[in-house]
Amino acid sequence: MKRVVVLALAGVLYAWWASGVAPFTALAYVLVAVATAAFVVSYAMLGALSAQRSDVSRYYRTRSGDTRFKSWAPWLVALTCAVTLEIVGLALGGRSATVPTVSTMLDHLLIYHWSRGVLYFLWLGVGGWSVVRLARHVRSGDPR
Amino acid sequence: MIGTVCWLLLLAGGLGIELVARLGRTNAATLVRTCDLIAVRVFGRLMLLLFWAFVGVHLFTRYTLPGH
Repeated sequence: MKRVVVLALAGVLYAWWASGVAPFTALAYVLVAVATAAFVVSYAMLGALSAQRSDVSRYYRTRSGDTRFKSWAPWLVALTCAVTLEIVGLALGGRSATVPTVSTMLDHLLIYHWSRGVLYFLWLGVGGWSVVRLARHVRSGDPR
Repeated sequence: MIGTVCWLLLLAGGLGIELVARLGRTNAATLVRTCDLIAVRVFGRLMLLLFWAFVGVHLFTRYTLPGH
């Protein structure tokens, strides 16, 4: 638990610093690359990218429960709607005021440092949480 | 404008699905459970990882709004 709190604090600091870096600069690319590499290496070290690790597949199968097509169909519908809207937005030039792409929508949130920092932290959090969750399973051997 | 409303409706819809799934009123899966289902195979895990990395690069290394 203590380790998770330390990681979360480090994530907040990293997100705050990285979100203040100007876009299209080398440092902005490096900071995203460092975070990505850290998670990919951690994830791979836990065996998540190995086809030989059947325990990892079993873990995810157990976690997904009795999820069937009927269960995840609403997400498929939402994804289809999002992709359709994105295609229409891109067809209209990408920055259309009538149908903006999701990137243009989010860019409005990225104007401010604080909102950029929150999104950066959420992005790090999603990646970090996946690794921490799997690490707990690997360490404990608990299928859940 | 209409596109913005559609995106907001889609966001509300996603939150609605998540809420209904978490309350257990239907057998709809939460987003996490759906991602877990995708992650059962290595290919699925790789796709989720690539999507996550793409989001990071796309959002935090570039910017499209002029004048900011």
